[in-house]
Amino acid sequence: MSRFVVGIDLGTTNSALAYADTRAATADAAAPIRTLAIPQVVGVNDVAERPVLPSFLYLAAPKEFPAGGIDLPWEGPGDRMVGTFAREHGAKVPGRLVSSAKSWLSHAGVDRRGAILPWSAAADVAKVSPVEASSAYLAHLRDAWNHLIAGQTADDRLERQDVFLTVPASFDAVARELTVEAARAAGLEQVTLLEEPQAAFYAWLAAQGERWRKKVKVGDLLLVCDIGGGTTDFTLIAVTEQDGDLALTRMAVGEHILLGGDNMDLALAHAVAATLPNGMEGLDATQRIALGHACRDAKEALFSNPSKAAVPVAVLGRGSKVIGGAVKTELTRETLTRVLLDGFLPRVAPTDLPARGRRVGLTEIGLPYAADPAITRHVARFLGQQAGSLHTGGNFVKPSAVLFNGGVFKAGELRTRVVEVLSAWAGEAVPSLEATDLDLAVALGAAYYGQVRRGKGIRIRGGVPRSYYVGIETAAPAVPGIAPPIKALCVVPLGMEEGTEADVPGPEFGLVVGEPAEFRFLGSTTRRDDPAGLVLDRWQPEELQELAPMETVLPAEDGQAGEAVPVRLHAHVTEVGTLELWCNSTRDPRRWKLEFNVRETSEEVP
Amino acid sequence: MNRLWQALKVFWRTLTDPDFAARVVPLLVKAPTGPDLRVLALLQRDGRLIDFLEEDIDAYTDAQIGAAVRDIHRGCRKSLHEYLTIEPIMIEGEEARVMIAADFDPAEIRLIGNVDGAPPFQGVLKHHGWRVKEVHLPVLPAARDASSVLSPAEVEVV
Repeated sequence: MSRFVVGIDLGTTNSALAYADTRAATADAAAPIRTLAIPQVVGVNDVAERPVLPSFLYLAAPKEFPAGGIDLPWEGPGDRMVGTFAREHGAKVPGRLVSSAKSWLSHAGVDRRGAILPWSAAADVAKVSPVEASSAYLAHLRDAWNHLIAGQTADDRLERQDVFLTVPASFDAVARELTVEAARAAGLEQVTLLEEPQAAFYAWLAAQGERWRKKVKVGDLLLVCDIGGGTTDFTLIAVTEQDGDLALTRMAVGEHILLGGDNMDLALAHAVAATLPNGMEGLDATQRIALGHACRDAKEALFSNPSKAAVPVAVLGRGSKVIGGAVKTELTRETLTRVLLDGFLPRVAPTDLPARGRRVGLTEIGLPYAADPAITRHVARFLGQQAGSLHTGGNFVKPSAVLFNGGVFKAGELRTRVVEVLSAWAGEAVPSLEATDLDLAVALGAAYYGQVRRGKGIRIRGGVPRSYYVGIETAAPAVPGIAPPIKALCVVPLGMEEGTEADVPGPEFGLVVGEPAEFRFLGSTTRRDDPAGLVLDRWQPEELQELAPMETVLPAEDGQAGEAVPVRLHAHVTEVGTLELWCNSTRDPRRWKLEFNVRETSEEVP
Repeated sequence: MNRLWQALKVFWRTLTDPDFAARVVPLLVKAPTGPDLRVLALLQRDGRLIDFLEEDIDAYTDAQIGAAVRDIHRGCRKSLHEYLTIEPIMIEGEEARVMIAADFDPAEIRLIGNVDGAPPFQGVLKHHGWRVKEVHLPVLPAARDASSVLSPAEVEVV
C-alpha cells in the first residue's frame, strides 16, 4: 500500500488536492489530512502557490509570452498553461482557452475523445479533447506533488500513490470511464472514483469525529446539496442500522445539471452592468473581467455585512487611463436578492418542475446548460422523482437534514434560503449540518475516504447509483424515418456493489465474427427495483437516458468470419468505480469486452 | 577572503557556468533593474499604480478620483501584502514617549527637533517607520530579471 492517500477534486472550474501521510496514523486514529498549496503561473514571470488550481487550459501561441515567462519550477509542457493565469489571460483570448472540460466530458452529444476544444478556436490552434484537457489538470497536480512532496523519493511520486478522484454523482458510466482514462493518461494508475456529494459528506464525518453518531439517528434521510462552479449535484444518504450500529447508505443521486456558482456570478455581473450607461457592451474585455471581480467582492461584502444596503462597484478606465473613463455604479442589496436568491433559489412549491427548453443568456454554443436557473425547482424535481422510487407513499421525499457544499454556500443567506424552502415543503424545520471548508471539502473528504478504504472510519454503502440497460431491437416492420422501437434489458441493477460481477440472465445474443456488434446503452437514476435480466417493453421518457453505445468486434482469429457465436452478457462493477460489460461465449470460455463508443452521438430514446 | 583567490574563482565560474555568468552581468551594467522595478511592475499589474501616477488628474472631480482610488488601493494593497511582508520599525504608538539608545541605527531612526548629539535621546515617536520583513517575490533567473518593462503594451489582434 502506498505511503500517502491522496484525494483529488477535479472540478469544473477549480481543482484541489488533499492528502494524508499514513505514517502519521495511529492504531485507532486516522492520519491528519492536509491540502496541497499548488504552484501555478499567476502572471508572466510569476509562479505562486494557490489553494486551488483553476481548471482552465490555455494553449499559448508561439512567441506569445517572453521566453520562459510561463515556465514552472519543473519541466512543463511549455506552451500549455493551466491555472490562475490561464483563466485570467484566457478571458481576453477566448479562442485559446479550454474551460469546463469536465462538462464536455459528460456531454453525450460530442466526440469526447476527439480534439474539439476550445469549441470556438482560432484556425491555428491545436485543439485538444475533453479527456486530454482533464488529463492536463491532473498532470499539473502530479508535477506539483512530485516537486513539493516526492522530491527525489521515487516511491512517493503521485503515480505510485492511491489516488481517490471525485466525479459528480450524476456522472454516468461513460463519463466515469473517460475520467479514469484521463487519469491514466496523466500516469495515475491507482485511481478510485468517488462521488463528490459523498466526498463532501465524508469531509463532514472527518470534521465531526465520533460526534456524528449523535447528530443523526436511524431513519434519517440526509440531502447533500452540492453547488459547484459549473454543476449542481444532489444526493440522498439514509441512516440505517446494521448489527446494532449506525450505517450509512447512499440512496439516490440526481441528474446532471449544468448550472453552478459561475452562472450566479455571471448573472450578477450582467445585472450590475445593466445599471452602467452603456451596459456590458460599453466595457472592453479587461474591464469585463474587472467587473466580474468587483461584483464578487461586492457580493461578499454585502453577504458578510447585513446592515449594508449597497456597495460601490467601480471599473477603472480602459487603456492607460484609470480615472478618465472609469465607470462607477453600485451593487444594491435589492439587486443581490433579486438576482441570486429569487433568481436561483426562488421559493417554489414542491410540485414545481424546472422549465424546459433553452434559455438565452445562460447558454454558450455547445454545452447543454440547464434551461431553468432555479436550483430549488431542480431540488423539487429530484425529491419528487425519488419519491416513487423510494416507496415513501407520498409524492415527496422529506429530507431530515441538509448538508451544503460548494463555495457559493459561504453566503449564509443562500443556505438560509434553501433551508427555508425545504422546511416549507416538509412542514417542519429541516436543519442543516454544519459544513466546514466549502471550497476544499470534496478533496479533504476524498483523502478521508482513502483511509476509510483501509479500515479507518465508516464507509457509505450504496453501489452504483444507476441501473443500466442494453437496448434490444424489436422485430417490428421497418417504417422509413422512424427508428425501430427497442426493449431495454437490465444488465446492472441500481445499487450493485463495487468489486462485484454477475451474469445477466436472459436472452442469448449471436455475435458475428469479424463484424462490429453494437448495443444501445441506457441508464436510469430512478428505476430502483429492476433486477438484472428484466426486459422493459415501455418506460416513461424521463426514466431512462440513452448513453453512448457499446460495441465490440470479434477478431477473425477467434473463429471463421461470418460464424455466429452465441453469447450471454456479464456485468462487472470494478473497485475503481467503472462499469465493464462482457460478452461470454456460451459454448467455450472465450469472452469479449464491450467498449463505449463515444464518437457516435446518441439520439433521444424514441 | 583573499581578493585574488576570489577573482580567480569568479573568473573560472563565469567561464564554465552559464547561469553564474548570467548573474554576474547585472553587476557590470548600470541598468535600472532589480527587485525595485519588479515591485513596481506588480503594483501596476494588480493595482494599475503606474497608470494612476502618470495620469493627469486635474480635469477630474474628487468624486471621480475617489471612486477609482478605492479600486487602485484595493489592488495595490493586495499585491503589496502578497509579495512583501511589511512591518513598522518601532512598535510603540505614534505620539508615545520613546527612549533612543546610543547604539541606534541612523538608517532606521531619524532624529528631528532638538538634536543635541548626546545620546540616549528622549523623544516623541512621530512616525513609526516601515521596513520589509520578508520578500516573497517570484524567483527569476537573473537573465529574465533584467527587463525594464513595467507593463507590456496590449494589442488586440483583429
